[in-house]
Amino acid sequence: MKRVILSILLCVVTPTLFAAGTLTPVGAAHSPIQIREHTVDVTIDNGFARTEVNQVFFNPNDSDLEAVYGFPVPSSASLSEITIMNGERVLNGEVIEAKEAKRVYQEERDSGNDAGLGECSCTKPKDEVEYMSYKFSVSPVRKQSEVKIRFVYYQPLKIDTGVGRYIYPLADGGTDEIAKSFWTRNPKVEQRFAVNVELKSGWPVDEVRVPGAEAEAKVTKLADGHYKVALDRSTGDLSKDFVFYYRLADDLPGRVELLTYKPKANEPGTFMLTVTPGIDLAPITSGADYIFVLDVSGSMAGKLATLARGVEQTLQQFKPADRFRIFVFSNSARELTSGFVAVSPQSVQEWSQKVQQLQPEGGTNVYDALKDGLDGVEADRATSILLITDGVTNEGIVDPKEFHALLKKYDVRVFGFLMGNNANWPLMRLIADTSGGFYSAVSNDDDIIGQILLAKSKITSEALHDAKLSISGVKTFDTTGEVIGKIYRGQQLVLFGRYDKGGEANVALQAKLTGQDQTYKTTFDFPETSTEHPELERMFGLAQIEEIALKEQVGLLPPNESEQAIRDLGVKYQLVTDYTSMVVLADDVFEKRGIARNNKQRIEVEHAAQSARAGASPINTRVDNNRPMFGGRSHGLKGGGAFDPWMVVLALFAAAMVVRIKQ
Amino acid sequence: MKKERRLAAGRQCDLRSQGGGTPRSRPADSRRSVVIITALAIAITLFGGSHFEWTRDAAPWRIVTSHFTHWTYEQLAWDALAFVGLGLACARRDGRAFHATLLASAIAIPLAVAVFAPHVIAYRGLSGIDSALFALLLVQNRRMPLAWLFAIAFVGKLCFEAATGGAVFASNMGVNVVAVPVAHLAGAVIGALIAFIRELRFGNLVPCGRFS
Repeated sequence: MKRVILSILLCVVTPTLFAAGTLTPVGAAHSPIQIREHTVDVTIDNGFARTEVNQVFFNPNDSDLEAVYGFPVPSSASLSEITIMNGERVLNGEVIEAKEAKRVYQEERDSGNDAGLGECSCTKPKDEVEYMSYKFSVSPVRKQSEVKIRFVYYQPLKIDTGVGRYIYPLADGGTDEIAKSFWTRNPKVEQRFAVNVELKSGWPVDEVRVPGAEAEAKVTKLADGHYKVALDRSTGDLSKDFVFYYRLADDLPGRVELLTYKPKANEPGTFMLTVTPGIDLAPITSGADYIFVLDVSGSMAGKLATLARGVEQTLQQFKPADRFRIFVFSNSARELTSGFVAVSPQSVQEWSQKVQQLQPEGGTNVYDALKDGLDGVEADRATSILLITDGVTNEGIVDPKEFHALLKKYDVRVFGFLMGNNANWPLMRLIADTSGGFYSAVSNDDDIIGQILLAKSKITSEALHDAKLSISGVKTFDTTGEVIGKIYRGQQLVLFGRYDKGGEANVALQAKLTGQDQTYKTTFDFPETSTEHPELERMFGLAQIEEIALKEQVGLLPPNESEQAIRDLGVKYQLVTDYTSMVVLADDVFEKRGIARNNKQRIEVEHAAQSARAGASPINTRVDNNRPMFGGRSHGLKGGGAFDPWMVVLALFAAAMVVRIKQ
Repeated sequence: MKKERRLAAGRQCDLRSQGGGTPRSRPADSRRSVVIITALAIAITLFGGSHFEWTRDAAPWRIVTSHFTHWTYEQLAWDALAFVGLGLACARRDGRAFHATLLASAIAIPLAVAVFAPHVIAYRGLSGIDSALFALLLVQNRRMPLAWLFAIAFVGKLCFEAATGGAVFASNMGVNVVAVPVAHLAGAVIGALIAFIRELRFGNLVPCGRFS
């Protein structure tokens, strides 16, 4: 009975708690700060996205207040700018060490001065900041007055099997119970909610789509690879993610694309190398074993139906020679099946129904579930584990090093699906990387079934093994992701790094395909100078930080060294991290406090480059035109006939006429 | 003018449809085929999934079964609805042509996809057959009122699809599932060809009854 009451309560409370929005301390006497406007401008330009968010807060109370706004951390996002417009005053942000930033903000706030603070619980839990979230504080919002806040972040976007996906995360994953006990959230937008996306692709785009808002979103095609999408509402709610898909043309080649930033010939430059393999990875025809490990913890309430549909659709994709097993976990793990089940239409139907009947309860004990799943592996069959969870690991063993040690014992690939925005992606990445699998973050407003099927197509196709990307001819350093391990069907490789001098580079991708060594090579030039993409430096900095965090997790780097390295990178590239925050002050206050204006300089350079790019047509950044690295296409697609509703109406009308005439 | 057109149509009425040496199968058989195929499509889409789709390395029998399975329930709903309507009308009009179109298009469509859409690695859906039946219906009944309007709309859709490489109204068949215009084109060609072949062999089988 208790469980029923808790489930009902959770369902009722969910819509108001699980979202981006202004935060009010639990039990506060005043009315919550209102969000009057929330507009989002996104530019997706050849491999990365710039997101600019403008908000207007209003204080309806008769006393000045501090506004606090919470927002889930987007995937691999580098928060780079915060600007606050409070009446006549304009405040700008500078990234400094987190504790110092908080001290400065509190001093200014307590003195009654205008100030702001941007903090992040990016990979680690933090006091008073929701897990995997940004927290913005603005003080004061004067009584019966408005304050405007603007922030900008950059993130690399990958194309998977010809489809690009951008998510503006708003829905809270509902996984941080501690934060919920501190804050109540106001996600309502009173006057205007708008999202504008400009897509600039160097390759033709066949289709763009906004799942859930197809009818509302106004799509304008400006050229083959140039689209504008606008969504404008008079009121809104920051509880649902905005998801945008774009599909490249079907017949594109495998390719190598390069973006660089090197403003001075005598100083190192930064690059982002994107490799889209054009290799025919055939479906696996022999039977294989699949072990589902499903999260049924309390925070999965509202997501279980989707999970069940995903499992059903995935089971339907299996071949008769395949077998599956299902484990579920909350506080502890248990097996739903009793050993492996052979795939047949009957077994698929039976176990799909059993998954549909699962009820959410308790905490999230991923370790026990994974261990049980791994113990169930039979050595003579190829086995994959599909781990679907939304959670922060909070029960049983939680140390990432233990996960690393466990997975190293088995030759099994783990594929992770993270549902919601506050899921523990650092741990999931560790699990996937250690086992040679991959993980996919899935928004609750996403095409979840499509994402699971996309992953399924990778799991059931050949993969490139022991893949390694090497660059010679041009001296590169601090590269991220050179040793890739496995490359699955449709996957793109994105490599960030630095290079000394321009010149001709030889790039080789070495890998094993069905046991045979394969090498794919090309040659192209790194430019001596280039000023088009200064944002690359921030994304490079963030990629470095993510690698350091991963090394710390698996025990390759002591926590104090990791913290120092992340702090240094955060300050150098002006990124908000677990250990660095953005303090937002007036120019004269920065000067008075002696805080260097490193971010101001970066922003000026970035804005100049963005202005130059704004009017230009989409640019194709392929660099292996003269000597293509791959001979094949970048991706194969599934096809289907679509007899759309209008054509059905037309056909039925014609059929009815024929029948009537015959009568 | 209308009367003259009706008379002209009536002159081409095929009395064999009244039972005198008809080359057509019985309407009841054809109706049964429509019901069976629709039921198969629903059952296979619900329970069969990928076991029946056409892929480049799949067993040859999947050429036929690929039409019965669909990527989404929405795709199934529209395709099946069109199939029932068109199938019943075609079956009533000329059962043998209906069966011939079914058989020929079921085989030809996946082969056309294999040859003319090399980027497509798997195929599902009844809509290619729907296109074939629509073409058969329109060609066989091209003298009926508004036939030209239906034909223009249908051919327009096919041309637009062929030119743009996608559906006129983008359907949601899932990530990485695209509309295959060549399937619709191949279906339409098969349907039209069978109608003309039947007409060459047996004359224009305009229904008797109202116009005769």
